[in-house]
Amino acid sequence: MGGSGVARMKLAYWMYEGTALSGITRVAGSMQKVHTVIHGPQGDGYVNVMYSMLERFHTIPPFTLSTIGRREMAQGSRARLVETVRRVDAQHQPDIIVITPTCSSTLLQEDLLAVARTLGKQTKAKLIVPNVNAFRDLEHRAMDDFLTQFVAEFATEQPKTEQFSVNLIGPSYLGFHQLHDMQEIRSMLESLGVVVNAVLPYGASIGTLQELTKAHLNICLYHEYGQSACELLKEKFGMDYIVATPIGIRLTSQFVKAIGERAGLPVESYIRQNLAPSGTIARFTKSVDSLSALFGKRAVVFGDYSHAVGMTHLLREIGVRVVWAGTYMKTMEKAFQAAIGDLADEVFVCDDFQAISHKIRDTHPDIVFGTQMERHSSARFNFPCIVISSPAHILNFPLFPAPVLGYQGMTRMLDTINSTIKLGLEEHLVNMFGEDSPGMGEEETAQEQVAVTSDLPKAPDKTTAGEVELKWDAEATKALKQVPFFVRGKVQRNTENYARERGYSEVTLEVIYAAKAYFESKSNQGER
Amino acid sequence: MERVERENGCFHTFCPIASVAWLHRKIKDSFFLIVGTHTCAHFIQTALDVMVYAHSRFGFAVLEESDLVSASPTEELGKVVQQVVDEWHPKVIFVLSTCSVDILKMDLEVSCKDLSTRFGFPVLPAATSGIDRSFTQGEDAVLHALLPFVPKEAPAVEPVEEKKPRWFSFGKETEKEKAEPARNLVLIGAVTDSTIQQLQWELKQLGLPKVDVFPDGDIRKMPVINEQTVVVPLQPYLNDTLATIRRERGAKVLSTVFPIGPDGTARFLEAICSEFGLVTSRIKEKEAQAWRDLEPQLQILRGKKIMFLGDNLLELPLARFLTSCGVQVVEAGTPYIHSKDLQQELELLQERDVRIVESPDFTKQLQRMQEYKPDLVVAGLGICNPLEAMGFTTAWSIEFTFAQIHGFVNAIDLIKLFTKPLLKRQALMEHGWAEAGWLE
Repeated sequence: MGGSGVARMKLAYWMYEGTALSGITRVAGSMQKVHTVIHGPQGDGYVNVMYSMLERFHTIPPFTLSTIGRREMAQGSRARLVETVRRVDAQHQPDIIVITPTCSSTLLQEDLLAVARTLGKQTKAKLIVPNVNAFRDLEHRAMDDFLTQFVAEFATEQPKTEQFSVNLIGPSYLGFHQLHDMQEIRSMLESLGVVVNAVLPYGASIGTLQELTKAHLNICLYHEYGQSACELLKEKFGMDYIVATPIGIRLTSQFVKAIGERAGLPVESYIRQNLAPSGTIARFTKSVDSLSALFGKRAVVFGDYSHAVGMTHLLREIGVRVVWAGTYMKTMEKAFQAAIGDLADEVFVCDDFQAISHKIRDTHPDIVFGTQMERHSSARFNFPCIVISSPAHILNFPLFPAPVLGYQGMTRMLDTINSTIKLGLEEHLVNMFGEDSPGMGEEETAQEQVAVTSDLPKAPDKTTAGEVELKWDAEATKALKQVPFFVRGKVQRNTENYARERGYSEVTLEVIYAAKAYFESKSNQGER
Repeated sequence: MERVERENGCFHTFCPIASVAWLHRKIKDSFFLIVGTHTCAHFIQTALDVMVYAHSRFGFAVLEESDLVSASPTEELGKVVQQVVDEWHPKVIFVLSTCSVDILKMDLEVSCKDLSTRFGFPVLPAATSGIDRSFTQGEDAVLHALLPFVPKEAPAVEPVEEKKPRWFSFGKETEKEKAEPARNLVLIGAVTDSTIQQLQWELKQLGLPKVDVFPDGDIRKMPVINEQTVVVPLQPYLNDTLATIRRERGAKVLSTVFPIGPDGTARFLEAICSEFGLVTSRIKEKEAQAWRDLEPQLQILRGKKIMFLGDNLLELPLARFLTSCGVQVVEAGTPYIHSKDLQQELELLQERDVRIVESPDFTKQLQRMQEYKPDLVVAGLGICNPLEAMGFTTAWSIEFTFAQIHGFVNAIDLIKLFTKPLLKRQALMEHGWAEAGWLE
């Protein structure tokens, strides 16, 4: 990676960053009346799974595969691509069809641009081929390049809006809480008296792209992508821009002030109001509970650039020590050091999840802030963890408003921290008296004990008085062991009751299977 | 095959490398190394979720641009294999090829041979490219790679004494073999130990005490397959493995239906019993009992319309089972049909006038769905939620590959994969969702 040219075949278990294909589909899939034709083998259709499962799409995601199969390998894949693009044009009638390269089409050296040039004369939709290296580029790089390409293609000179207005560059599907962030920033700007002219790419259409220049300022919300498009708009149309991810009180203040300065609006009172002693953030931070539960606690932070930087700020603002902070955005190492070098004891870049896992284990932090992978690593070592960055999974697509940015984002983060760590008094009590068996109801605990004792056919003293002792033959015992421990006791009891009722003296496989058929059939409704 | 429609279309399915999800757990002390691109890695982690990753014995040899021009992948692959060996100490490594390997015409077979010699344990190539294979066929590729570890002869009990007379007594030897034709039965397919135990128990009841299964979880304990072997597939997508067994081992591959559902299981057991000259009369009783056990579920399914969009290659046996349940299968879409290995399933479906579509076109299927108005659609993970939003009730096709669906005992689990979504819909209707208007 890194395009150095000397990199060789590399062992990888896990990628923190997605592919160029996922980057392109995040941009195109977030837009209106834009359909993407993916020119690649059957498996490349997996982007549909992300949209339909994580974003819970209620329409068929706007991606159509132009399948490269054995036939296309032998006879060329051009005919298939042409047919697919024509069909999509006629059927979906989009304004734009993105013909995206894949690893396979890149290796096959397919000239998608040539196809688009010829075919574009016949289609209603405008055809766009992303100018990315599908084989080498990663998600954020591809997003950055592709957004710039869109802007270069469609943006035109427009008169400015009367009121001070901004464009929000960044919010898209499959980002980390990005649509929640978008709502939060919108309401924040509304409070300040600033108008949102456009959002890119979420919800954007050709019209949106053409009218970008109506705004006075571009706000690039995430450092990973979007800045190049802002840079282009600055060069071509003289538009001012800022790059800022407002997490925590300091970065949010800076963000608000930067906008206020350019808009000529007073923002001090807005900031004061949000940080007032009567406000939720101050009440939490000043509380005695937070003193014993958080102050001086050792945290570690890992994520993409924007969220790792933001969380490090936020944690220091509530009195938590950051033992180390890392990012997997290896291309942003310098900026990362500069941003938080003096806020954490150690600052680094790394994209090896096992190295991070070992570092967590060795650091023994009080709490971990990381990606879904760190959540899993932390669970192995029994450390509490809060997910603050992609890679995300379904838990990071909550149904209730859950921003990360701005004051609301901070409030929500404090709530999350609150529900993850032990509160002050609780911690004292636990330290004094020891902990209850965690998270297990009496029923489950009892069952587990049954399961433990019933690993082997039962000892006679365990049977209830009056019941006939049932023998389990070797095969039946083996079968019982295959049942997960937490239901094993129940299965054993049910099977024995079934056997007794029918007068069996020994439990054999026949009895187990017959009992299973009987009980499963009875429990028709609900659980499998 | 005349009545099979072919659309050569685009449908929603996974890539064969997804089969590492169950295979890396089935084969003990193994490591699965996928030689591919970032996209392969991103697909697997997206499809399989984070949880699978923590201690998983599979990884990726990610191709970089310099690999594209190098003459042989052996050296680079060797370094990656060394890392895997240091960390995991596997007894066997499967090297899975992908579309990129296919397009670049990288010769992983030669590299694997060299690396096996260098490391002193098997490094096996498996052709899992998504260019011409479907989701579940990854299992076929891996079983195919394991065939060299399937012995042709049973290890002799006293090898020294037995070997001697063999050299100069050919006549006697043949006579002896004629006297006791030690025919063995081998079931083929990576199913769970519990499913194996159930099938072995059924066959034992019918008079066949020794039933081997390929693959065994232990690479050193693979069953014998030779001219005396009767091979019966448990999964419908093991065509390459079966072809090679026919060709190189001269084993008899029994043509039957798959032991999925009481009907399939009964036909499967009958075919085996007939082959081994055993009485089949008891099977009918067992089948009848199995159907009686399913009666509450059958009441839900009878008369329902079910459509398979096509994903996991289990579609034909599942459709056949459903027709036996009294379901109207309005369309059995499936990525690919091996007409020889699926002959009996095809015949049964055609007798029952089921529309079969090979390599279906999803766009056309969407239109047909509006006509059929199916009660249940079995579809890939990528499109279930949108279909639900359109008002259809769906079952995830991938669930059928992770659930235990073979044999009489598991028939209840199998049928519930179909009844559960229907019951859920009914439950929602009864509890407040009727007034939403879009659920009928």
